[in-house]
Amino acid sequence: MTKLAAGSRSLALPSTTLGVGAPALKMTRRLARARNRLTSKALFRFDVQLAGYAQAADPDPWRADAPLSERVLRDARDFLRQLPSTLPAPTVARDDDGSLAFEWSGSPTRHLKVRFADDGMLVYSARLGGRQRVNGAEPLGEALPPLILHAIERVTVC
Amino acid sequence: MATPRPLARPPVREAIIEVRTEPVALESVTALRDAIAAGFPNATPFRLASTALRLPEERRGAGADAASNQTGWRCESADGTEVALIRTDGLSFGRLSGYPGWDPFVDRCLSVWGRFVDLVRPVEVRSVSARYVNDLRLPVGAPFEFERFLTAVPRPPAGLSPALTDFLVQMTLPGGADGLQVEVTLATDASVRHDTTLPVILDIDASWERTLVVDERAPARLQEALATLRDLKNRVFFGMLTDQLLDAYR
Repeated sequence: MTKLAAGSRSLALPSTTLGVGAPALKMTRRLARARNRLTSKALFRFDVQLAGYAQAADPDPWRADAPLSERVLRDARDFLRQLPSTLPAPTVARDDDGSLAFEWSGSPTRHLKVRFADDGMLVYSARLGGRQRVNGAEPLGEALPPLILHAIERVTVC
Repeated sequence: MATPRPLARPPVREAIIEVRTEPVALESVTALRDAIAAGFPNATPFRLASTALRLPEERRGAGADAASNQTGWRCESADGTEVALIRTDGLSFGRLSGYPGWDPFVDRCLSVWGRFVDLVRPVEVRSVSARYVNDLRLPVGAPFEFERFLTAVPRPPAGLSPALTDFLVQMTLPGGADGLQVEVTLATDASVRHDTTLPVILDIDASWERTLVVDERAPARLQEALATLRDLKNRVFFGMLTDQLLDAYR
C-alpha cells in the first residue's frame, strides 16, 4: 500500500541539484521536457506573444514596440511555467515604461499587475478590494513568491 | 531490496554535492576562480538558461545579455574529471568519471568549500544536497522481467500487455527529518539500448533545506548533514536494486 506524504511541489520543478556533467544534464532536460508537456497549458499562446516582443526592431527602449531583453522574456516564461494550472492565465501587456507586464482582473476593485524588471525582479502592485493594496518587489526564483500567488487567488477567485 | 555493501565498481556516472548559500557577489566568486585555478585550470562563465528549471545555458559565446546573466564560473580540472560550479548562490562540486568513493569525494568537495568560505564569505548555508546519477545496465535475455533487477518499476494498466518500451518515473520521498527529501528518477535510456543490455538511469537527488550559520562549528554540521544525505541516497540505491543486479558491481 503506497501512502501520500505531506508536502507539495510544483510540477514545473524538475530537480533540485544542479548537475555539472552530461549525464545529470541529460536527465534534467528529459524531465524538463516531460514536465513541460504536463504544464504547457496555454504556454504556446504565450510563446507566440512573447516571441513578438523579442522580434520588435526598434532599438529605442522607450518606444512601445522596442524589443524586450532576452532575460525579461525568459523570466516571463519561467513565471508562466511556475503558475499553477488551476489559476487563470494573465493578460500580457506592455507597461507604460515599456516593460512587460502580466495582469489579472477580477471585480472592478480587484486587480494585479506583475512587471518583469531587467534585473530579474518581479515588481507587483495589487488592489485587493476597496481599501487593501499591496505593492512590492521580489526576485524570480524557483517557485512563485507566495505573496504574488496569494494576490492572484484574491483577485481572481473572489 | 539488495543487501547494502561496498561496491568495487559502483555504477556512478556523475556525483554532485551542492551547498547553497544566500546570494553573494559575483566579484568574490571570480576571486575564488583565480584562487583555485591550479586545480581547476579550465574556467568558463556559467549562467542559467532557465532559473525555474535550473537548466544551465549551453550556448557558447553570447548575446547582449550574457554578461549580466552570468551567475558564476564552471571550473574544470585539467583531466576533466572534476568540476566546481562556483556561483553567486553557492557551490556544486561534481565528479564525472572515476568516482573515488564517498570519503575522498567529500574531502575534495569540502576543501573547495573551505576556499569558498575563505574568499566569498557566505553568512549561511541554506541547503545541502547530494545527487548521484547511476547508469545501470540490465542484462536482456529471455525471459526478461524488470522485477528481477529493480524493486520499483512502473506497471502497464491492467488488461494490457505487461511490456514496456520506455519509461520515465520521478518520485519525491520524505527523508524523515524536516526539510529532508529525496527525488528518485528512474528512466530507460533507449538511445543506447543494445541487444544484450538495457540501460536504465537511476538518478538519486537527496537534499536538505536546512539553515546552517557559517561559523567555526559549520564544518562539523556540514559533515553531519552530508552523512545524513549519504545514508538516505544509499537507502534508495540499495532499496531499488535487487541482489542479482548488484552482483554485477561487486
